[in-house]
Amino acid sequence: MKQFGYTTLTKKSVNIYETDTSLWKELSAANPEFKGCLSCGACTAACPINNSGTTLNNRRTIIELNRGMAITSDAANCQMCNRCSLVCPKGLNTRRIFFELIRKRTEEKQ
Amino acid sequence: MKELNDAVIIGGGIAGLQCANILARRGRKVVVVERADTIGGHVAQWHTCYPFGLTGKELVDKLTTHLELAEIITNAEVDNIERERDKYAVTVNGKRHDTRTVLIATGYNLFDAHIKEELGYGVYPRVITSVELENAWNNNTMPFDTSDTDAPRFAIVHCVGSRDLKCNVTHCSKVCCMAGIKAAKELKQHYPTCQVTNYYMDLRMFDTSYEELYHNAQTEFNVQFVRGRISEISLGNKGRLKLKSEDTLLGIPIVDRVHGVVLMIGMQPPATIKVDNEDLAKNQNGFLLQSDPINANLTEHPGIFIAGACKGPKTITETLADAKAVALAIDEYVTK
Repeated sequence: MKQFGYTTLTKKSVNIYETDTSLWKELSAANPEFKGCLSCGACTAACPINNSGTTLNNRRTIIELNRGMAITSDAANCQMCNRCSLVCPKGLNTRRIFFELIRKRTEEKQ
Repeated sequence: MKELNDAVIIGGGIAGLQCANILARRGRKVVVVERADTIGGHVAQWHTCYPFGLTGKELVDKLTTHLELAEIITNAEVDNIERERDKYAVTVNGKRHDTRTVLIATGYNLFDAHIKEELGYGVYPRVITSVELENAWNNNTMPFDTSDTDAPRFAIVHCVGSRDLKCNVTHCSKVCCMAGIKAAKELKQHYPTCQVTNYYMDLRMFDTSYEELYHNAQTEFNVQFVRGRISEISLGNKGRLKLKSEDTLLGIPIVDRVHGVVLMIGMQPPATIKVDNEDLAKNQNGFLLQSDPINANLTEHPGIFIAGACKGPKTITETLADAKAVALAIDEYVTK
């Protein structure tokens, strides 16, 4: 095939009507409090791991799970310091979201 | 000598009725002038009114306990209001009513969703307004046909005709956030297997119990909230609607495909009322302006009062409180 010297970009938009939300359904059934997240971002602002340059982001993870999108945070980075839960205005146990994801991954490995 | 009324109330919505009811109970001579053929205004057509859960009809009935003492003129057009020393002459359908005071309680007009062409209202029958949704519940009909699926998806689009400079609307219509969440819960109750997504710019849960309504919709009803404005609604596969927006909390453009869209249409200023052939003063959003910082119902004309949503978007609770305040103001004005 003749090369014209340009590249095409991959489509960025997500069809949220066909994403797989089974993980969200499972996690939110076990931890219904996650559903009440206001997406204020206080957890992420308080997170020393996010602040040190990783992609770890509680707020984003909850939304990504809810929409069934690819999770951009690496849960293994979480140090479980619990600063995120301290600042959460809705009193959510926000670090639990990473705890659950790590547990989920461990279960899958076994 | 013509009969002199204490108050002519222009607008038979909840503000006008509340005020007329109170004044009539206190022995004042009141005329209520309503443009439509029935009283109750917009509220009469709402299926349920938050937060007390009454139907619009029930709520209106509660405001008419003493109305047999007042004169009610429906299908009425106010031709003119003229000041004659310390009283006013209001011409209704060609007939003159002399009165000490006039209350303007003309409420609001609903935003015409056709103006937002990109949302496809009037083009796609599966795009309906919040008013049509209330009417469907009132008529015990299902607003959307979902016979071809077990798991329908619905979208509720907030801020249609609110905070939109292109439509010449800069104000926030204030109540649609709550109404949008209420609509989401009702859809979920009528279509138990459905997924409802609310597309919002901001959720302004400003009063007590509204934040709880939002929390309840998230946790009990699993309503999805996406912060992003719909840029376009088009026809997708199988007669479904395709919605484009950006999930601004993720920075990812998203496409939704739904079986029905509800547009939360905002409140617009009411038609102009002229006193002595001059428009009443308006604020920057086109609603009537209160002339006094303390007394919320006064205008620059002594004896002309304003109340309710003609002053700006208001909830039912606020409108009823405002109408009660204006009843006192009118009573005091007439006594003195």
